[in-house]
Amino acid sequence: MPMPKMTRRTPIAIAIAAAVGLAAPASASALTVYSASSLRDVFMQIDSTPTYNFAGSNQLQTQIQAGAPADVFASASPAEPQAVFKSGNCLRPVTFATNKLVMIVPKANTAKVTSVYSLRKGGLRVSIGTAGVPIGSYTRSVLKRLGLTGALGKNTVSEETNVAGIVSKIALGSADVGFAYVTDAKIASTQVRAIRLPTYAQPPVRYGICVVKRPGADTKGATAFIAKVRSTRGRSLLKKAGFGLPPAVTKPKPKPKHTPKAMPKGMVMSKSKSKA
Amino acid sequence: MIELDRGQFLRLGAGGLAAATAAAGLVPAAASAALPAPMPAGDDEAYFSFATVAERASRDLYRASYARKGFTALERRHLHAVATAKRAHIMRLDAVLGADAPLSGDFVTVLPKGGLTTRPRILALAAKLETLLVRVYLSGVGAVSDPASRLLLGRLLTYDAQALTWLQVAAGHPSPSGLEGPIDLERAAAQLDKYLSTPDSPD
Repeated sequence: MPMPKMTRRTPIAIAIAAAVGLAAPASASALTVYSASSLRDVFMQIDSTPTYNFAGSNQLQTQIQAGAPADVFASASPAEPQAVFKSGNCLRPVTFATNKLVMIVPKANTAKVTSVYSLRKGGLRVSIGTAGVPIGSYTRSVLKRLGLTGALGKNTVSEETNVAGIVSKIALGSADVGFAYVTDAKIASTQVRAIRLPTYAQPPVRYGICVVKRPGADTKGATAFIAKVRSTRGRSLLKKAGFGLPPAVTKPKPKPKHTPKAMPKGMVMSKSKSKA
Repeated sequence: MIELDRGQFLRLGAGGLAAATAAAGLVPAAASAALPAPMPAGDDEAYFSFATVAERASRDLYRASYARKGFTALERRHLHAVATAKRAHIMRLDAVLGADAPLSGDFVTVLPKGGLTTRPRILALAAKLETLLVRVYLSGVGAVSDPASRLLLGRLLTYDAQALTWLQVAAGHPSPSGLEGPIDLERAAAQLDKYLSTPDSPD
């Protein structure tokens, strides 16, 4: 049987099909969650039923503001949900988890990297996030606080659009050093080794989540999903995955109904107008 | 030339007056200018990032110590004054860092268990932190390229060196004959980490 002839348009068609395939939902569900890549594993554990779209938070922000069919937006930084909230595309975001930045090296560590200051010697292949994505911004902030921005120039730097790209590069040995979240290092602990960064240089990594506002959005489902993430079970799974937790939201205790003290016999309660 | 009547003159604050007189060419710019604002270039900012966090830890220790037993009223007043001065230093350092300055909730000072139980322990711990700061400032003064940044680090060095001397004298040690040498940020960071924690962050 003769093979179908490839036309000039065929590779483009394949590329589009591949792109669509990559963005295809993980499972069929009415609820669509747009989430930062670093939340992939834990979100699947918390609730595997929604349709997920995992990518860099800044990309997701752009998509949501352009009208993408998201119901929930979970980001690795409060900045993106806050921007979406300000543009009127989501309800007020809340912080539900925290994280920490670490330096990761391949398990073999052939470049013999011992600390972040090893960047000073140069000649390393360094993988960092692009400037717009949270992991990229956090990494730049850490390097600035450590006085190592200049040292980056002595190394070969490649940029990734999300944290998953950085971790896979290190796991495959395509880079000697990368900057990722401690939770990603934990997931890939068989392939990568985490090297801690000085505490004073740690940026506060806080995850924000919000209910997306758009015509036809599943607001009820989105609210339920966020409640699930912030529930005791959700928090326990987040903690197990290595995330930090903001203080739990405690429901205010219902005020006890006013029960007037027993009046002595013979006394009559009178209604009196009090000044405001 | 700008002419000011008496009302306008009185309404001007000191800064406004300086600006107005400088703009009017009444005095040479160099003479009228205030101290230049530090503008650390490139990686020089790291000294300020370190210092603002380390000064916070030091301030927290002074704050925690002046309520403790074992200090005289005079010593308490001194410890209180140092804590107040440290607050001002942190504000100056944060002003240099601008948007990159850490927020108050980003770090928590973790003092070693039993570190505040006795007067000698408090003095020793405070001296340890002051020594760290002094050594980093010494390193920074020698390393930063911006003159105004160097000047600020130098002033903080002077203050903290005095605070260190006071602590050593109060602890009964002979007056120090000199300062310890500068320390690079890599080693200093490892020392500071013992006193820091990031609240709500993963362990």
